[in-house]
Amino acid sequence: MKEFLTVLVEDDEDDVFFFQRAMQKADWPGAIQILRNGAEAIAYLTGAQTGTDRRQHPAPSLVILDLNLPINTGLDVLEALRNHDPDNTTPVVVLTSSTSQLDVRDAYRLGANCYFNKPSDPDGLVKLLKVLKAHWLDHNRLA
Amino acid sequence: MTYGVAVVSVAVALVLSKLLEPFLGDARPYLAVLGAVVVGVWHGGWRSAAFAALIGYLGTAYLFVLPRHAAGVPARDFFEELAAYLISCGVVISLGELWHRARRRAEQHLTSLEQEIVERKEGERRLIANLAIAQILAESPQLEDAVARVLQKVCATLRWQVGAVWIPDADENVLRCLKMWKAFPDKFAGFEAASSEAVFARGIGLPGRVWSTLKPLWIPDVPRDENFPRAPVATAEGLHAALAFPIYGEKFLGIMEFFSEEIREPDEAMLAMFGVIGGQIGQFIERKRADEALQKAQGELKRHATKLEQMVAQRTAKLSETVQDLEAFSYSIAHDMRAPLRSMQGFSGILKQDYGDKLDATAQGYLDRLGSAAARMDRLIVDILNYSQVVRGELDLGIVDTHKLVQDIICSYPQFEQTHADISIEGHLPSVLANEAALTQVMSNLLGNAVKFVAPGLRPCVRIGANPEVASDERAELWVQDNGIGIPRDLQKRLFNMFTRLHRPGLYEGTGIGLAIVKKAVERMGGSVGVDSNPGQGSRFWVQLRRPMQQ
Repeated sequence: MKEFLTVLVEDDEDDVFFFQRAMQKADWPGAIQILRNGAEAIAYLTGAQTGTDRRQHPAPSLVILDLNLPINTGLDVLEALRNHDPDNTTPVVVLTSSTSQLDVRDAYRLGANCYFNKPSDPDGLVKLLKVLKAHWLDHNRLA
Repeated sequence: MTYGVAVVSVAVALVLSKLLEPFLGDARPYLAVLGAVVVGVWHGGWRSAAFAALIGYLGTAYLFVLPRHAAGVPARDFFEELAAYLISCGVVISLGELWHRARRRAEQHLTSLEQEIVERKEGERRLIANLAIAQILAESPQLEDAVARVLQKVCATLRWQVGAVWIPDADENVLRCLKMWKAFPDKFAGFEAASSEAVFARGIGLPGRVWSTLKPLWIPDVPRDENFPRAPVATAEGLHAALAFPIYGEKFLGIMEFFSEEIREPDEAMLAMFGVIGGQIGQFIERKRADEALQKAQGELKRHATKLEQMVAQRTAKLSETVQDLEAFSYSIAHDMRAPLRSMQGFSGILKQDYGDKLDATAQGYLDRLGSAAARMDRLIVDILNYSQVVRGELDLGIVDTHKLVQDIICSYPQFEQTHADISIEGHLPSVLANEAALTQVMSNLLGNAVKFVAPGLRPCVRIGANPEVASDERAELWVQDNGIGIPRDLQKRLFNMFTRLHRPGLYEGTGIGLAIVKKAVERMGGSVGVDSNPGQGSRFWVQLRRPMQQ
């Protein structure tokens, strides 16, 4: 069985740090690939950068996606991912500070699996990651 | 002449008497002479007849009476005959003279009658011209057009063949021909050319003379006029009589002149008429000029207004574009400000968690204050973002089940849990026409305030209901009643303003934006909001919204 790969699309260094710390505390398994902007994420997720060579860039098991990203937004990434391969069912968790109902609606319309606001305290993030782990890794069956 | 007729007729009468003597004999030798007296009175009047009677008597006496009565005329016969002769002559002369006088009188009557008819016809023409001119002045919208038509009408009705208008040239102080009208387009070309080239100073030519006197002027025959520079060409083209009159309103505006192919004696009535018409045309021209100036000014004004409108529209479009840009900008700025705040909160939390055992209580307190300050600022930014979204965002209205919406709010927010507060819904809340997200914001803000602003140590007790008294087919009213600290009456109207906080800092958390959001959202959904409250007795906030149309 291949290793569980989590792709985190996040431009904020502090948030990356919080995330990595919280993952540790939540016992998040597998490898983590961090992508710093929308364009990089689109290139990685659609294979434009490396062709179809998935040995170097294996397909992710789960994508955690911020929406406010430089160059291309998180919604652009989502759209590119779903349009690139309609059969792709990789779960996408939107984790953003945006409370805009428009963003929520657009994210779901473009194929997000769930939508969370970033917790403001470190414990909140750990709690959320534990919930995500329980859901996506322990109970949920992936395609 | 008078007496010549008498002499000839008496001579003829005497010759006739001599020739007829054998037939007439002695009878009435004076009879033939009476014929001569008749002829005399017919042709020469009573003087001629009296003369004929005298010389006829003498001739008859000398030629006929004396030879017959050579011995002497019996006195009685002589006086009888003389008396008969004188009476006869007197009768004949009287009759002749009477007849003469009667005829003269009849002739006089006839002449005056004819004259009257001519004058009446002239008067009629003047009247027609006058009416026609009045009509032209009343109907013509354009000055040029009116002047041309007046020229034409005057020529046609008053029998002139050429008409022209002269106007003063202010720069050179001369008159110039503005327009000429001719009854026959192919005639008087030379006169037209001469007129269009000519300029007349005051006192020169027909136009110049009328200009200096400002009175109508009539020239019976221009070729024989001394002050008419265009005389040679007028003579060559057969123009004779001329008439000119001034056009004046407040000031002198020009003259009109007319020419005829006939020699015409001055018509005083026509001159008087043109004196008046000149004034009418002048007033018309001044009125038209005023109208034109007014129209021009109005047109200018309209153009300016249109230009201004366009400018306003352009600027408004630009402004709203700028406003949209600014909104997008401030939204993204506000958003970006939240990221470092989260970092501050995060790191202060981590510091306390991971290194808390190395810090004393004071340092830990500072970390708490750092974290809560960041949290407060984060809440402020979130509220501002929510407010700007309520102000500017699209608010599509639909039918919202308020009852379910309030139930959901109570269930999903931790501060509304049973452990914190008693919250109850009275009866069933009606459906309203609203935007679900905005109404959620409104009700959660009102409920949040209701549980927040209570006296320390008191358990919040909040009731939510609908007011059937205010309800109508169009509107429904929801209310939220709390057991809070209440709001002083004089502060209630400020309550819904942005950043209004009615309590001293530190006692209650808040940004002062919540009720501003409530008011804005309700108003944007076509409703209204208000409060009834007294300090210490709780508050009752009410929200009126439109009802969905009944099916």
